[in-house]
Amino acid sequence: MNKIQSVCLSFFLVLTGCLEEDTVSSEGESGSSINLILWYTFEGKEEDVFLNAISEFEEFEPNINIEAVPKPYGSSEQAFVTAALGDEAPDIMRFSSDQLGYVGKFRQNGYPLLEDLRPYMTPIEREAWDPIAIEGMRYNDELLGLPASQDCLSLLYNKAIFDSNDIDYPNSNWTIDDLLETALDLTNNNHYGLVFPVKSPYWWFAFQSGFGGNLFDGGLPSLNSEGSADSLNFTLGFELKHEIIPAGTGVEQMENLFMESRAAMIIDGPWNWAEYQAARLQIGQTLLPKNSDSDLRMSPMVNFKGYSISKQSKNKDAAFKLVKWLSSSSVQKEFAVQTYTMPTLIEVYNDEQIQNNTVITGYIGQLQQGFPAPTNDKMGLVYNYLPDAMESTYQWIESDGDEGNPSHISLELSQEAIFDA
Amino acid sequence: MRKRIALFFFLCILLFIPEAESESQQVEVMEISKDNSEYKSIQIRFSTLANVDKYNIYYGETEFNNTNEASLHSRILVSSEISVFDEVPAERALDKCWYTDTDSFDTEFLFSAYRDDSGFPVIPSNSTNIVYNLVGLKTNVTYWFAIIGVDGEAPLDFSVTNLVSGSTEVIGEVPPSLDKTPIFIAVFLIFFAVLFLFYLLSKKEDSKFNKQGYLYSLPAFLLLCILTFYPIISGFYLSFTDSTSSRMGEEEFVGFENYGKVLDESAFLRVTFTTLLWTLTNVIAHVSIGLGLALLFNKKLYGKRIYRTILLLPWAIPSFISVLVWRGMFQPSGLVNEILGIEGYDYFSSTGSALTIVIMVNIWLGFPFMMMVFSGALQTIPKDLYEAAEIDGASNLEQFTNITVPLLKPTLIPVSLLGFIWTFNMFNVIFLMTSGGPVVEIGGPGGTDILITYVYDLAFPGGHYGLAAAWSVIIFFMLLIFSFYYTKVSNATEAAQ
Repeated sequence: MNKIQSVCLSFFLVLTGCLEEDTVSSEGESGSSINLILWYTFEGKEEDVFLNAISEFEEFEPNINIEAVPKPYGSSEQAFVTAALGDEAPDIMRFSSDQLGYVGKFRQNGYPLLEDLRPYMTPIEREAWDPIAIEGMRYNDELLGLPASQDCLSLLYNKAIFDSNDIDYPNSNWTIDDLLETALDLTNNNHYGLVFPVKSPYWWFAFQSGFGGNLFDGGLPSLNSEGSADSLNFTLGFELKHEIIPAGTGVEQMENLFMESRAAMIIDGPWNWAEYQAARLQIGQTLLPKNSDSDLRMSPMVNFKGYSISKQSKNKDAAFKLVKWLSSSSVQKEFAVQTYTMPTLIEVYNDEQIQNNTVITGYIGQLQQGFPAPTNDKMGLVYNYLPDAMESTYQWIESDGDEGNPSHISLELSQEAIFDA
Repeated sequence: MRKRIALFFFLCILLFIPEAESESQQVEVMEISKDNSEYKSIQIRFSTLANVDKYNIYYGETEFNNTNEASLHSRILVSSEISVFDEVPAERALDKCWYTDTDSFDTEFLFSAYRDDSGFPVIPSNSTNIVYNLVGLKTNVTYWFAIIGVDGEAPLDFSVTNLVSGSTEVIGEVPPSLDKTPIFIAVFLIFFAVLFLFYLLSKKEDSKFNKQGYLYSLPAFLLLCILTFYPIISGFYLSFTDSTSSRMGEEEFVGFENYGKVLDESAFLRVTFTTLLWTLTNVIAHVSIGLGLALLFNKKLYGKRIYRTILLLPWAIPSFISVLVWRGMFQPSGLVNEILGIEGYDYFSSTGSALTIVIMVNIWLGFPFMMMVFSGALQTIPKDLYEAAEIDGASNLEQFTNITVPLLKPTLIPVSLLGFIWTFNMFNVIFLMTSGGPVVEIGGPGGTDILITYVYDLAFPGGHYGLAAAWSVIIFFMLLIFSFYYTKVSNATEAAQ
């Protein structure tokens, strides 16, 4: 029995140790160094530029040590939420604006997971940013991140394929009929006129807006509309009806086809431009076309990417210093020049070097035609349910189901699912 | 000529007309309100001036005599055409600003300022007072402010006479650290309950209780309490609450509501049926293929070790890598279509083919383990039993049914039970290959969703933690009842003895 008692005592002592408060240095302790943990989602050249920016910051802020941890972009918001619910959130996290709706809805003991950054800047400091970018990082009333970059889809084309077929390059006066006809002309023998993943919501949003549809109306999901249904039929038709795009094309296959010069046109973002250039492709870019019936131009969703501070961070002022640096004009310009990342600071838009860069100015032109990614909590649900609607419409059309308009039915069902969730 | 002279005189007059100067005058701040200060923000109140089109607010951490020694903090625009600006409630704005058209600062007379495209406040020209929360200020730092009313261009420098100072003492909100005490108390109580049970057992007179043995296994019990018993109990608790992503830590007890929702769900029976189909097919295939190969390798065979090594490869490679390779092979542009000469067929687009593929991949992944276990078990069967049977004239089938199967039973029963539980809860194959798809009903479980993958969907993208916990408890009881029934029927305990 004595042995059992001694074991219990040891267990109790261990337990007491476990219950001790964490001893983390806080900003209040003057002179002490501050450790910040930052989770980022860059890869390749972007990662190099980012890590250089971090090193520069550490040089002029020697009291702040940064541990930069890479995270896969696809599940970064889930990783952050899991860590935050376990009280282990990093001080800073890089988020895309369309992830903020998901993270923003979480509450732990009544507290949000991210800090509202509205009080951190004076209005004059804030004026440096494009107001649309600032608006894009807001969830409900709060400003959950400082935008450091933005991107959207645009129409890219392989000049060599157009030249060899003696077809004029796409231009900003094109309509979606021109796009379809040219794509049909350029599709033959395992070579395709246009590639993009037809079942991906992100790509579909651009078509949806061109047909007069929209995601939300007064904050409520409005997926099922004439415009949305027509655009879904039209988009899926590239694969199912016209066979311009190989069946089941995903993002990776789309990039490979364009890289191998087996696709004449691609709807893609600026993030792959450097890679296409490295593959020695002669590429051009123009605005996504207009829909001649609705007289609306296809409007891609603009995603802003920026840095957010965890509500749990004990070093918020130091974290904001770093966030501000990573969103500063010198870092944004470096990203733009090195990796064609679109800036969010007005000063960088107007920079001479940026103005002379046709890729960046071309994409800035496309950004001006886009619409900011909604950051409400229903947006996460759109990403959950819309792929189901698109997939079931695809299967329905593929199996020659002819009762009713499958797009309408699927979109209505996904809209209902979002309402019910 | 007259015209030229007239033009000359006109130009001369223009040159001598003094340039229209911008007028600036300093505004007196009536109050810096400490009571209304917020984090990084100080509230100021002042009366408007006549004939100005904006107010520039300057600030500095030290006193200044001229605006060029300070920084511009913000500006408030004045407009007679207020309707062209956006109406934004103060709570929604990036910085709060109100105006009044009376002499009172009472809340009921305060209207939220309008906003221009850059988010700066705009007030109507008939406003009398302004209340503005100056943001972007550090806590416990004294700032000096001056407000200049400007008509036209703001001057580059302007002498200021009356500065006002203020500071905010509001500190940033850090949520309290997660209270882990209830977790430790729960683990502590579970641990002591186990100890108490041991104590009672040791007190029994006919007890075979070996104190030393239990003492040695105590660390393992402690880990079991932390890693197994506590999560199970916590899951049970969660299943009776309305816990969701937006109510973590504030959940309320809702009784059996979540269980009602689960049983009421139309997809419950379908997903349970898919789970049973998936589990039984896999376990039967794993056991049969594993046993067949083990019997084959139990005989003299040339190059046996090489074959065995090759067959162990699926088990040796991390399963997620194998699964992703299989997924790639079954893509419309994948290897399978290329070999079969089919163009663009999507195997994952129909429930039948998708389910067949995921089952096939899991069979491929699972049989090497069974083969290894049965190979080991076959080594323990004495060879002389087979020799005796052969002398008695027993056929191979008779030897298998009368010697091999009964003597393998102590291995077969627990291994197949383990296989059942593992496969029932096998998450990664379905999640990585199909993510539960194809779509059967929008917002509901997909064609290859089994219970465990659907619970994941409910919990993580969905954020319905209470409901997901109720599904998990139901899965737990399904497996508990099956295990109990299976061991009872198969007399596993006696067989093992």
